[in-house]
Amino acid sequence: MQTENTFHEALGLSRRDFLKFCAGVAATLGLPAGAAFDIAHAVTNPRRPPVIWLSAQECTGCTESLLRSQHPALDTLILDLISLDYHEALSVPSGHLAEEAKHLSMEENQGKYLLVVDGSIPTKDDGIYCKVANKTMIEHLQEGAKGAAAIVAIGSCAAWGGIPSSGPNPTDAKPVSALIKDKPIVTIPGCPPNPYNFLSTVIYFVTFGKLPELDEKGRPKFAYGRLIHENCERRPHFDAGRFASQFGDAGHRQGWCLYKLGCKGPETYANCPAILFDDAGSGSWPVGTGHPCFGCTEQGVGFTKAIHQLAEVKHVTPPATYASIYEPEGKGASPVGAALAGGVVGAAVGAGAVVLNILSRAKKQKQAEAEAKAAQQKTLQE
Amino acid sequence: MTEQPAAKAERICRLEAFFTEVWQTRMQGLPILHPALHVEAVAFQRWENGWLGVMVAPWFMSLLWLPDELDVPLGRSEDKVIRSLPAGDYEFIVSHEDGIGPYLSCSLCSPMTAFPDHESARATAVAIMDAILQPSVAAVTAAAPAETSSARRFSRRNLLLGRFSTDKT
Repeated sequence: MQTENTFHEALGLSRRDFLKFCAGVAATLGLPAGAAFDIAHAVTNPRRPPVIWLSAQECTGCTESLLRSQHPALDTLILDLISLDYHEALSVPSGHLAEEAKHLSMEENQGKYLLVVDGSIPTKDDGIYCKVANKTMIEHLQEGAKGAAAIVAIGSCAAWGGIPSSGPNPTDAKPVSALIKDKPIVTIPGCPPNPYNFLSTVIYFVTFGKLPELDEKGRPKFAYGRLIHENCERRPHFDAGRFASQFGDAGHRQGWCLYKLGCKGPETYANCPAILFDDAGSGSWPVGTGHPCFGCTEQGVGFTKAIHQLAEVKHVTPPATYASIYEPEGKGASPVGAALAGGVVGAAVGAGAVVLNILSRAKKQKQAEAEAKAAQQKTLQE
Repeated sequence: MTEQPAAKAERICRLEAFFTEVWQTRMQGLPILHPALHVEAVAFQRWENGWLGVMVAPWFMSLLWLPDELDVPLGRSEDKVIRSLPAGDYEFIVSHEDGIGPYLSCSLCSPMTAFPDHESARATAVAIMDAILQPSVAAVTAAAPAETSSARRFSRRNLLLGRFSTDKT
């Protein structure tokens, strides 16, 4: 228990709050509540999984979103949970020393480390348009993938090509999956991706030693199983036909549905409205601030369609894309199961994030009180 | 539990009329409309001092709860509230409509492309109401990767109440 205490103390959480958080993550992942204990145990294991983070053609937005959270800090959680042995923006050593640290970790942790990639890989002219330490990203990726237990392609660029692959695509930018075929790859698309989804995926990997259930695009179903539109807090406005027709009109000011302004919520799979971004409070996602969803997670939508373009209603909403873990037994992939699951997902999907938000606010208001309470909790439990 | 009054209550008829009007006015010409569907309030029944049922329309299917008390606001519009139903805890969004009053709405489906015709949408709505009012569906029968003994010993309720030892469960 020593390590567990140290861990949650480092996060500024009482043991109880820490377990609440673990229960929230379990709910997000669709696991029974008891799994919270497995998660707590795994997360506090002193043997943290080594992570090598490669940055290809990217803007560091993925890393920024991961670090721009507040107390009790997703970044602390993530950085304490893993051993980040190499990250171009965050590494303490630089230059040759950084490269050396990377190679050392790759040799020592052969077959065990997690390779995280953000950014797309330029492939034109043998990939010379993105080089680090005199090697192309293609080489870095192939080298890193060889000894990796699994690969996390974080952000839309690494997941499906993102901005660099859109438009004229001068560097022939490709996603990780186009170059690596022999390793399990989980994609966490988004621009930026939600750090909570990354955290939950890593926690799942740390707890169970494998990747969570993925859809056909390699996305974790717990996070990308439902359309934005299905979890949106403005859904009753849509249902009742109350739309904003222009930016700044009466409907827009009253917070009505943004579908007519080109909201891509009806064709974009992601859990943004359910878990929001970082812990900035309610409404901290595009639609919450009055801007239509532009489909950043979805290939063929984000960076491809014009913002004002009406969402296309594809006649492919296979209920099979929903996370099977929520489906009532025997109902299989029926629309009933999917719809029911959806409702429950709405409540459960962001549980961990909600816990973090509540804790964060409570902590800011009553820091001293919380500390006293944590001390008291500790005494009680001893 | 699923028995339905022979005729729809006046309140539900008004609800249906409202969404039919929305369909024929504000929604006209939008590509998100499913051409084979129409507006129908399905399986509305009494539930906790109000009406619970599924609203089927060419552009959405939502679980709605309409309270009997029209003057008591349920919260601010767009607020999310959790309501416990036999099948589990569901997240509803607070809404209000003149002539209907305050109501809670839980998104089930939209767009409606998964349904070939109105009958299948209607049958799904009925099945959803049946399932939602049965406790058994609630159990998230997760094929948990690690079915450890701890997974069975602890309930979330106890966990959230801070009861960590087995003897209290």
